[in-house]
Amino acid sequence: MVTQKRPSWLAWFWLLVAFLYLFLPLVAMVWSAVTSPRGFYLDAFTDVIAAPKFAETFLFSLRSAVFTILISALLVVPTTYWVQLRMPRMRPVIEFLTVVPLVIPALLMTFGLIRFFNSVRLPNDILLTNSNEGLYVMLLGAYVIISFPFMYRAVDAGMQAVNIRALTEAAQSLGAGWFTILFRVIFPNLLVAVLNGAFITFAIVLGEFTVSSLLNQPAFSPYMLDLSSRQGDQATALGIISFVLTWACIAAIQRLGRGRARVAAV
Amino acid sequence: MASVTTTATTTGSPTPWVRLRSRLSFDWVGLVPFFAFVAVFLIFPALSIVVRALTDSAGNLTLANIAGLTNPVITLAYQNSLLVSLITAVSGSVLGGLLAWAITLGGLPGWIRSAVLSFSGVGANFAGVPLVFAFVALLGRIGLLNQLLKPTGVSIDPQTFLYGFWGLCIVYTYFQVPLMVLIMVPALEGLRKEWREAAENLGATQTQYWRYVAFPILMPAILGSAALLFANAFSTYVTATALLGAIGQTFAVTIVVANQFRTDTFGDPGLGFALAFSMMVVIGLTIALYTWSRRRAERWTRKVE
Amino acid sequence: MTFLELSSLRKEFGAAVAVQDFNLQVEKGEFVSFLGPSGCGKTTVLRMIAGFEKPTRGRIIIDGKDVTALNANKRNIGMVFQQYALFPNMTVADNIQFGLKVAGADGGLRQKRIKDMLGIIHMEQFANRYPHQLSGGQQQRVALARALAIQPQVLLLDEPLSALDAKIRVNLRQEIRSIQRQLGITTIFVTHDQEEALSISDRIVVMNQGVIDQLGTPLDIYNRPQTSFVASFIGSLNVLQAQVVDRSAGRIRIDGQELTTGERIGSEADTVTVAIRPEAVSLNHANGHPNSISAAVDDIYFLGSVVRVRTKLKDQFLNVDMFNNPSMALPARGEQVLLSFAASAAKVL
Repeated sequence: MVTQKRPSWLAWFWLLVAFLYLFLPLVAMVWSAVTSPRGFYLDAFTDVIAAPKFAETFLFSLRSAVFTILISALLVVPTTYWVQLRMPRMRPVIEFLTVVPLVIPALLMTFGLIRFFNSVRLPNDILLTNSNEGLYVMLLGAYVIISFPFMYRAVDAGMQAVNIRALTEAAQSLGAGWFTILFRVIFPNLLVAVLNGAFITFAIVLGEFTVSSLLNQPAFSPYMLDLSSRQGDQATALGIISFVLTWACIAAIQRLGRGRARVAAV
Repeated sequence: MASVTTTATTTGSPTPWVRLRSRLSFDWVGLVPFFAFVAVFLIFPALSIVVRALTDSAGNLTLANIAGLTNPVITLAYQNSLLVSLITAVSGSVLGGLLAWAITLGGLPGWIRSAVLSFSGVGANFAGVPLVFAFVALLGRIGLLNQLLKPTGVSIDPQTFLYGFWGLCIVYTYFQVPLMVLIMVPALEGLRKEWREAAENLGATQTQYWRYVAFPILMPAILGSAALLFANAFSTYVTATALLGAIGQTFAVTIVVANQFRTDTFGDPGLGFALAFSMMVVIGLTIALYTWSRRRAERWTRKVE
Repeated sequence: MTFLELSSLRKEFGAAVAVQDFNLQVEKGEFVSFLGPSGCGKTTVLRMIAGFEKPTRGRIIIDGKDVTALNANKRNIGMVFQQYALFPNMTVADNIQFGLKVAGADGGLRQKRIKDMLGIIHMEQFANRYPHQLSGGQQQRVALARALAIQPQVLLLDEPLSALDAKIRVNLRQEIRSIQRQLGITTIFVTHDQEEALSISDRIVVMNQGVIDQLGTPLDIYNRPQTSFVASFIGSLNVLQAQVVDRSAGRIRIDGQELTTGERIGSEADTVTVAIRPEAVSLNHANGHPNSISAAVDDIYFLGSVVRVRTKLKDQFLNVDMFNNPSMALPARGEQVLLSFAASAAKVL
């Protein structure tokens, strides 16, 4: 195009600057994990993967991620469906509530959770905040809240894309009941959208530090920081693993959504 | 952080039977689980911070907690946090904005655009512990840069450039840039080709086009994004604490809040809540600025038929 | 005197040829439309005149000066775009004075020009509005004023009406034409809407697949289409297959009935294509026309001011348009009718 006269060397220049800034730290991280005074080695990776604490914390975060995704999807999908179909007036309210967690720092949220649940006692007269189960419930609650923005946007966009109203009315006119509609029509059509929200939630929960650390839960990220003061290269190896996992999740979303990833990732 | 335009609602007007039923029935019951969950895990906890910030331990209304914020440790932490947030909002906006420009209007090949966008998705979420590892590996005492510079005799002092104010700025900018890219790319793509052509047609040079047309049109989007970046940096806790460790226990507001909350470092529980409340106010103001500029941007680009 | 001259213009995009062998001479003050289906190259020609595209070959001359190599911002050509090309961050007044401002004109002149232009488009009271506060039609009028404010040598209009409602479209095109007459500005108007082109142009360039199919006045184009493309693109037309009976006398046969055409038949083939405008045929009304054929009424369509009767000969259909008139007696479906028309109305393509 003639109007695109600006020489693109400027574009190349800024791309190069950004590239150096964004990639040098990653390169350095990989370099530091695979070099030692003796030369190239992969011991940091093999050692850290073999460490029992790694499996323990990683599985803890993995399990938490799965629970978070399940609870989040079970809350968000029917609610979004209901709002789109029956209560469009509530839409702005839901949208607002699902955006709030983006701007409230996890730190403050945890702070508030502890303060709020501090007075709750379990049946066996133990303070909720003093029992491990209680803390785990709070952790999951916080994670689900954190996942709402991503899950809601993905599901909402997914529902608009498949025109949920027409699907429902078609199913109704064919004589389907509510249960059939929800589980045989709506959920299968939303699978991609829910997966979209699931991957980003997975990435966030795996890397999450604040909530788990403040609630004293044995999660992956606090372990990584803890390890760094003792076994720097192993911690760095964990950092690389965590980065690769994040990238894999985002790549999966982009493969699924083509463009909706932007929605999910921000 | 929020950056996404809500897609237009396609829900049409409800069919007659739906309208009738919703007037008579208990449709709202369907929303109870969601609202209950949000109330228990988000709204009540947030309110409890506000309430405790404005009352004493006996539950009487007081401003003493807020007054306690003048504690020099806190004001210094605030100064650091606000400055770091401001600097990285600007650095992230500039670098991210230029990168977004390069991949949209800069005439680079299409695969670079999609590669940068997909990296930005990762980078914006790549905060926290691993990010600190990466920068320590680059700028640390025995980091890559110092190893490379060894033959020249120059060395970078990590105490100046990593474990302190400038270190925070450098590390924060890392996740600010991709966030800015994700927000600015749609805005830049919203610049209509016709505007450039109309300007050119009316005799404007490239510089005049950018000065009078493109830049003013982008201004609300840039301002809004910068506000978002500011809030993002201001609420960052993990990166700060992981980078500064034991030496920076009072450096940033978030670190002070977290420590107060773990161990009551000030010996005044109310002060912790006042501090948390003040953070909510700062973030609230920033988000208000973001919303305002976003409205403006949307108003300009809205179609009128 | 030729004011704008395009000679042997050619434009290639990669391997695709968008425009070729394009020659046109436009008089000063003339209003010329480029008409054709989308993708025919009309917009590409316009963009070459504006300077947004560089011709692969050929020259563009304005007022005796070759501008082919000149940048768009040095050409002093006004352009109105299809839609939303007003700068959204500026008021109506700022939009209008933009061209003068970047050229460094002084404030007094700018204010005067704003006032004049707002007067021309009858929008004096809208000077301080923003584009998003205007309707589509108002936006396009401001876009026109902005393009005219720099007192361009040539005005280019790139489908300026296609995004507007039908009613506004008709009003605005009349307004554009009257402003153009008033200022005497040489104008090129690109459209895919034949009614638009026919109603306001001095001359029309009908384009198809990158070449000029026909160049002429609206009357010429409508009544004497030179190619079957022009014939089928302009107006509605009955296109029928006919057998040649007598080449020199122009006699043909359609579905067994003999007819006389206006001229001798040049084609060597035994079967030719004949075009007849529906409004050239009258129903059950001989009028002394030499051609009268019988047909059966197949269906009747009411189109407002016009009633279209579709008749069937033997295998082929022939539409007849009549003005709607309250006292008109319409034939019934299936009824046998007599179709009459002048010899010159039947054109062998």
